[in-house]
Order: sequence, then C-alpha cells, then structure tokens
Amino acid sequence: MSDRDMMPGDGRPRGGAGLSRRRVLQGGLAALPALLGARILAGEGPAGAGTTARAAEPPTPPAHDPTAHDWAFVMDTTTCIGCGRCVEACKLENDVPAEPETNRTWVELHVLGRDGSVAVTSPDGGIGSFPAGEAAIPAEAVANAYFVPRTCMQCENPPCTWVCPVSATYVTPDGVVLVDEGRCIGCGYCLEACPYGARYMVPAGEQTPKGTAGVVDKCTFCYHRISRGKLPACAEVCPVNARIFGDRNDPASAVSVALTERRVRAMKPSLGTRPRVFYTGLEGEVE
Amino acid sequence: MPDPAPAHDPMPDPAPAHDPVPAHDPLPALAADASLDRPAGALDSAPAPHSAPAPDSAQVRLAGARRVLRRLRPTTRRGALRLGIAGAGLVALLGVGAVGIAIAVPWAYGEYGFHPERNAQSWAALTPRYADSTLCQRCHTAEFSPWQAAPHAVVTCESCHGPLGEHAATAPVPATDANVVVGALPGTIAEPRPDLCVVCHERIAGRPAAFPQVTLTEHYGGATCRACHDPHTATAATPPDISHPLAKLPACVVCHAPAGLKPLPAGHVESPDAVCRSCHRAAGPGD
Repeated sequence: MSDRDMMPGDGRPRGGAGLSRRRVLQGGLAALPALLGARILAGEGPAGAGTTARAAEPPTPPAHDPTAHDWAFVMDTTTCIGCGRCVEACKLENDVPAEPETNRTWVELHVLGRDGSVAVTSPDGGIGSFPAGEAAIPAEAVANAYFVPRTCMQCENPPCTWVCPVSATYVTPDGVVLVDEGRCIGCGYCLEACPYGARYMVPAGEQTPKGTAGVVDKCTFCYHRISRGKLPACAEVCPVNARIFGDRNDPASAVSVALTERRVRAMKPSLGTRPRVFYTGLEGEVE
Repeated sequence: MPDPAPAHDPMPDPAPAHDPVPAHDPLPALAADASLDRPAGALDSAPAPHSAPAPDSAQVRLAGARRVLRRLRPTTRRGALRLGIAGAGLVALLGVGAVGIAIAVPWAYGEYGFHPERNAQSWAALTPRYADSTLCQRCHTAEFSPWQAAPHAVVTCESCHGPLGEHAATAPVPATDANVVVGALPGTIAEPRPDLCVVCHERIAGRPAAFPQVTLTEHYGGATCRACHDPHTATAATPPDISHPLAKLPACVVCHAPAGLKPLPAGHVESPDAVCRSCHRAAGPGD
C-alpha cells in the first residue's frame, strides 16, 4: 500500500487541492470586505448614518433600562372631545408625513344607531377636529356617539412581527413594537397583517424621523420621549387627559390606576394579540 | 421479560381468530411489547427465525469505522505531517469562520430577537420636540400662574402653542437659572390660530355633553374668541351693562355705527339687537 492509499482523505483531490484551497482563500478574502460592507449597511448604517434632520441630542441615547418598564395606554372615550390635538402633535413630534392617510395616531368618531348600524368617520385622521352638523346617522336615531383615539396597540403578541420576512419589526423588552428601518424592505406585509391598521408606508418623497425612505413607519409610543421619562406627545397635549399613559410596573402610575379602577377593554380581544392599549367606554360592536 | 401467554400469540397476527378480543384487550400495548421484545431476548438462547439483522449491521459499521481509523493512522513520517497539516487547516478554517461571523453579525444580535439592540437605542435617541409645561414657568410667569389655577390647567402650554422644546432650549432665560441651556437664537412662539378654541369648544356630535361647548351660529360670531375670552384663565370678559334706557331708541347699530355717536369697540361687528343683548344686559327694568 502506498502512502496515497493509506490516506484517502488527504490525497483525494490531489491535483486540484492547491488550486481549490487557493480559490477558497481568495473567495474568503474577497468576501470579508463585502461582509463588512453589508454589516455597515444593514446593522450599523441607520443608527450611525442618521442621514438627516434629527441628530440625536445628546448624541448618546438616554440612560434607559428597557427591562424596567411595562408601558401601557388607556384611551378614555368618555372624555375624548375629538379635538385632534394629539394627531397634530404626533405629526409634529415624529415627522409623520402631512398626507391625511399617513398617521401614527388618529381619532375616529363612532356613531351607533338605534337600529344597530355603525358609522365610523375620521376626516383627515381627525386632525383639526370634526366638522359640525355632519352626522352620518340622524340625531334622533343615534344610540351612542363617541370619539375613539386610535394608535398602534403595541401588541404583546403582534401579528406584524410574525409576518415580516426580514425580521425588521420587533418588540422591545418594555413592550414597544419598533421597526428597524435599516432592515425593512418596504414589502408591506405588516400593513396587511395588522388588524388595527396602525402602520403606514412612508410615501414617496417623505422620510421617517430617522431620515429613511421607502419603509414602514408606525407609532413608537414616542420611544424617545418615554425613555426620557416624558409622556408621548399625544398624551402630553391632550387637553382632557383622555390619553392615560404610564408604566404598569408602577402601581401608582395613572395607567395602573385606570386599569384597576376603570372598566377597560382591549380592541378586538378575540384575535389574541394582547394589546397594550385599552379603552374605556368602548362598545364592542364598533370595532 | 413477560412470558407470552399461550392464549395470546406473541407475534402480531392479522388473523382475528387467534386474538379472541382484539378490540377489548385490556393490555394490547403489553402484548405488542412482548412481541417486540421476544426476538431480542431470544438471541441469547436460540436465534429466532425472524430475528432482526440490526446487530449484524451494527457490528459491520463498527468494523468499518475501525478500518477507517486504521487507515487514517499515519504509518510514515510524511503521512503524519500530512495529517497534521490537514488538522491545522481544519482549525484555521473554523477560526476564519468564527472571525467572519464576528464581523458579519452585530454584537447585540439576538438581544431583542433577530435585530440589533442599537436600533431601539437609535429610536430612543431622537430629540423630543415637545418639552413640557414646567419649563415655561421659568420665564412666562405672567401667564403661568393664572393658568395653573384655571380650569385650563389641564391643557398644557404646548397643546395650544405647539412644540416648544427648541424654544425652551434656546431662548434667553434669567441668568440665575443655570439649568436651562442659553442659546444665541431666541425662539419665537407663533400666535395661536384664531380658530383654535373652536377645535375643542364647538358643539359637535360625539363630544361629551358635560364638556363646555357652544354652537357657533348661536354664539356671538362677530369677533375672535379672545376678544372676550382669556385662554389662560379660561374666563370671559364681563360685558358692560347697557347704561341707558332703550325705549324709543332705534337699533343699536344706528348710534353704535363706526361713524356714529359712540362707535363699536374693537372686536365687534354690526349685529342685530338680539345678538348685542345676548351679552349686554339692559339697565332699566322697563326695557
């Protein structure tokens, strides 16, 4: 038996081994810059590249422990007056495009007729309030009417994160569903999956607050504000405290008190999405 | 090893005649076990006619592995060298792979699922545009104090005045206040829209009945809201009573015309008497 016979593994592609190894090494060396570039583009580009307007100030993120909070919202339809200040504040705070159909938050008027009919209107998302004297149902036939502030439910079991083919949308430990705008490919699956219509595609010519175009944007609970101890902009400007925001880990917070003392319900609870946004005074038939 | 009962054929037999109660046998699984166990146990004594070929093939595999190992064992110095080179190459390949993974995958990958945590940090790092009302009192004491005591205290400054974070950060402040960043460019607060009160206080369907609201066509529409109402204190100016008898006098606007005996004060328009007297009470009992 010769050496070659004794060592079949080593000698197998005897003639081509050197060439193959060289090719492999060359390929690897060529791939490394590509990998680095891909990492810069995908992982680190958006955070660092902050292409436009809103540079972070201070440049480092605020000291914020995402595991220490359990954010939740209670929307009080019994006090909401439908003024739409929240919608305007959200657009100003978060660079939400001015188009009336692109909203991170909006207000709906739900009019329930005595005959069981339901009319839901939201002209321009409710920004600048609702027109007077324009009732979808005659006043004498109205059983109930109230305003419903809408936003992303920040589901604990969100369908949008399931369907994202590139895992660009995710849930933070404190319970906010965010979009990694550097990874989002703008396919719009999450828009279809969301049972609450809470997401929008950034229109052509517009950008997210981070200066990204062609991606999906959504309510972040004003993540930059709540991680600094501030209220979301919509809750900050609400003139009747219809938007009660807070930390469920703090039993003294307004939202904990509201969840304990008020009768609340989630929207579309049968879907099992486990929303973090709750409603008082909401009637199930208008979902 | 349970001894198979003579009544039960230990071998599975499709013929129902051999199994008296196949459907109601209390221990069918046991019987099946027995049938499976039997060939393995029977190997010790006598080879069963249907014994599985598994032990043989295992022995064959073991022998094959021994042969491969024997063949791999280098018998010459050159062979040992080759084996060593091959091993080192394998280690080097794994090392390159590890480095490649380290380069291609962000450090925080997986902390929040399949995405880098720094994306959430970059959302948190955006600069808030809305400050909060506590900042305003540093300078605007004349408005702040009455506002705090008024029914409008629940309406934050920025609900009407818009986002003022930049203004608060850059406007000159009293030098004693070291907590506020003093910038070179004083911000300017835009005057609130003349119709801003209407956004909340116009009577529209769906607005809670307890909320103060007016039907605009029935309210004095000749002036801006702020001609009579102070938004900070949320009080209306008390209109002066009519200081003269009205009997035998023509319409108000005859004398209170712009070029008349006593022109209308600023903020008033010519209106029917009923509109004037909706605010101005007549002096005399006979009127």
